[in-house]
Amino acid sequence: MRIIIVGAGEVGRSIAAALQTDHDVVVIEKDPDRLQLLQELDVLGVLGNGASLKTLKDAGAERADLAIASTDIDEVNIVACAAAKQLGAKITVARVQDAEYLQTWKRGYLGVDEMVCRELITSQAIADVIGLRGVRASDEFADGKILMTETVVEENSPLLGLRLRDAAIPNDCNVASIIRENAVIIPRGEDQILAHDRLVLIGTPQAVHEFNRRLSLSPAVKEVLIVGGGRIGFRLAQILQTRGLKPKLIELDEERSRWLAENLPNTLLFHGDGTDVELLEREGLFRCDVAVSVIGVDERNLLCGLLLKRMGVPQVIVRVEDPNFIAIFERVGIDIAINPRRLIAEEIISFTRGRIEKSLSLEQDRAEVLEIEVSPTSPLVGKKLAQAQLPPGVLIGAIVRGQHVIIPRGADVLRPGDHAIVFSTKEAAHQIEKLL
Amino acid sequence: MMRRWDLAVDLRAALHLVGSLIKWFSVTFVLPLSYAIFAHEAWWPYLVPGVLALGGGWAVERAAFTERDIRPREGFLVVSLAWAIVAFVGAMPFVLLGVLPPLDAYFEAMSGFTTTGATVIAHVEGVPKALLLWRAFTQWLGGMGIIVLAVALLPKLGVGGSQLMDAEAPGPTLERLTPRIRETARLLWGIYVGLTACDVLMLVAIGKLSWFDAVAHAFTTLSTGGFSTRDAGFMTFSGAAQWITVLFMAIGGLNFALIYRVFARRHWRAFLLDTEVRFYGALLLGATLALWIIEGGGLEGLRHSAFQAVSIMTTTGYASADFERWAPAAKIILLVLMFLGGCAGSTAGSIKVIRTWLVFRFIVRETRNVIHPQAVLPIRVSGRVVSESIVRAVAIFAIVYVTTFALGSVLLLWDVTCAGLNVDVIEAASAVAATLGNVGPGFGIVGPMSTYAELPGTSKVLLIVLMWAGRLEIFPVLVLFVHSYWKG
Repeated sequence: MRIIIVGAGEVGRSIAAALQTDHDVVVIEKDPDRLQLLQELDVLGVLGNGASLKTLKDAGAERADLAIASTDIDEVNIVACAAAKQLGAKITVARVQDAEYLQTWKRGYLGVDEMVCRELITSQAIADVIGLRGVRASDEFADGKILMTETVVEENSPLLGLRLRDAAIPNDCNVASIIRENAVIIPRGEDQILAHDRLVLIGTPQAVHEFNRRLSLSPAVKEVLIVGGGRIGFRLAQILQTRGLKPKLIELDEERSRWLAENLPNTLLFHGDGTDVELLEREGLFRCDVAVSVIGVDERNLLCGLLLKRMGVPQVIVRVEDPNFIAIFERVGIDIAINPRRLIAEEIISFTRGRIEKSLSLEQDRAEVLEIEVSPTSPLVGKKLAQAQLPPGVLIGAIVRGQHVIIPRGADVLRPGDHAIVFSTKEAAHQIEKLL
Repeated sequence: MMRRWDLAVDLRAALHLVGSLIKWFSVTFVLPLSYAIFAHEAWWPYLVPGVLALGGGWAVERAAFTERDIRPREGFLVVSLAWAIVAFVGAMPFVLLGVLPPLDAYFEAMSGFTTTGATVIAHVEGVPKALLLWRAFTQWLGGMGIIVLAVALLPKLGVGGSQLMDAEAPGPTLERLTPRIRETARLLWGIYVGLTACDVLMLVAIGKLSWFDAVAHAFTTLSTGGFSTRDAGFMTFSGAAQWITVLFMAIGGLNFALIYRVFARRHWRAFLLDTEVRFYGALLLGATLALWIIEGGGLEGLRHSAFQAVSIMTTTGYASADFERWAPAAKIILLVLMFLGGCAGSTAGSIKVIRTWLVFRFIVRETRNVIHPQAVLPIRVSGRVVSESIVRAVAIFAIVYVTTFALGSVLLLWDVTCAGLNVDVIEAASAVAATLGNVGPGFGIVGPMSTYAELPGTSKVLLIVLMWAGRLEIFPVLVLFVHSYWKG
């Protein structure tokens, strides 16, 4: 594939890095210093404005299979996509900050094939893990019909020591893998659940939520505290409101907090600082089930998150912009650190996968969850899964057939056009992609 | 350098417009004039003021001719002045017919145009019918507003009209239903005329009233005015007529812009979702129920409770029973209702339901903020956020209104006591609440079966000012007494 990336910022660079080995990547950037940073990658850098036809032509947009616009300015991204499309790029992807553009785009086309919105993806990712205490990562497949989570088994889990077949796993939920120490295990009924195991669960959102709750004994979430009322905080509050929750939100800026209060009818707004201990104590804000800190500054998020953790909040989720901090944050006591840039990059990379609708890497790329449309020529079509010769390290976690979700057992059969949600080790990923 | 007579107000432009308004106002005398000729009564008392208004208005308009448009600042002066002069012209027939002395006539006319319904005529059935029609007609004109009518009909007021209408319209919000203010004014008057016609037909067909009584009472029902053509008011008429009037008084107390949206655009749900309408309905039902229980139940009791509750709260001021003889608890409820009024954008007077609701929400919010000092709590009406500046304006209006009421009560009590009348505090307070809120009858000496005639002249002047200020919602009148309004 020939891929053009406009904008070599944090996101653009990580996309380029992920795609460099399998594809021909051209990066357009107007800042020579940033372009210089790309030297270490196996990509072609073009200096110029990504929204100008001339630069796009220089980069060979006519022959591009995929054009990704990922500058920091939404309008530039949309114009760059439209221009690339006009020149003949097959698929265009625009990254936007403002969800309003997503609404505009849904109605028209603007020459943009796919639009990826940072605030929506991030707030949705946070909302997905709220209330799931052990959950380390989670994502949706097949337009939200399937949920996948990677969940850590804690030492006080009530299911500790049980075999999978005795753990009363809900029917619509599949344990696709157990990651133990460094081993990725495709589980059988006899496998036990041990402390510190990470279970990869695939199934309907309800079933996955239910099993996660049983795994970690976490009660249903009632009170959520959000610190920081930026775009992500606002969207997150909106999502939680639609779930029937009444979140509380702390915002530092007075005018912004007024705006938020007016636009979030079921959210209680506090004008103040998330690290103001007096505020947290007086208003009893630390007595929430989940606290989310989504301020724009990583260090403040950490401080706020640790403070709330210390005050006894069971689950603390923070946003972290610097990818180097993710592991550190989780080590010092934050339950989940969410990195918007990585989410965006993953979402965009998934567009390069062709028949693969979506993919998600787990465990530093040692395993993947893929959503693949089953081709009519696949040798697996028509065979019972029990008889099908799946490569080792592969498990079909769920099948989506039209509107129906099937959690496959041995007797189920794949049909052409089905969407298979597949768990696979890195080595087996190419094999299963070819097979299906 | 400002000279002594340099004004910040463009007096010339204001007078020019007032002259024009009075000139056109003369046309309204056509109705009593033609009825007088039709009924073989004296007709010249309607012709003379008509001609005087026409000539005087024309003269002022010419003398103060200017090309300049009025600004919001002049708007207050124009509206206040126009209402005062219109009442003056409207008072002439009473004097010319020898029915009332000049001050009483001005009181009666001001009570008419402001839709108050407080009367100084003890025996209305002895008055020429054309004059009774004129009296009812003044209320009908004042109900939707003479300025709104002028904006709807006069070509001149197309642009500056919205400022004038803002100064005249009851309630904190004037909704524009259409991009052009004239279209909005025409729609409002159209609805008003239509509803009045419905009321007339129902009163004749079901209530068995004569055409004359039906028209005169429909005029004073939809405008929530309260003048009657009978000495005993609505006690004269059937129960059916009373129920019809309850319905149309309640409609008169609704927001006409909302009525338009609901019926013309078939937004049925807008009615049920509107906070003000819900609160208005709840207050009317609650008051009816309370009065019904206090006054001892029964089917007839229900009718009288509903009639009095709706009549007083919408500031109409009809009586289907002599509530002067009701229990003290019932009278207190009626006194409280005088302060509520109808909805914003209705023909009712007083504080208005929406302001009461906002003040209530404001108190709740401030109380919650004492407990949670850093919580940000916007106030919503019908799901929409009300800006802080409006909330503040509404709270200030309520304070000014109550202050005016308190001051007026003290002054009135003092004045009537000097005049040697035996009036207690509640009676004086009720008289002030009833005139300031454009209700009409109060208690005791000014009760539903009595008149304001007995009060001394100075008290009448005070009440005339209160009716005038109350109809224009105090501020357009109040600013005229502020020095900086006139100078810089």
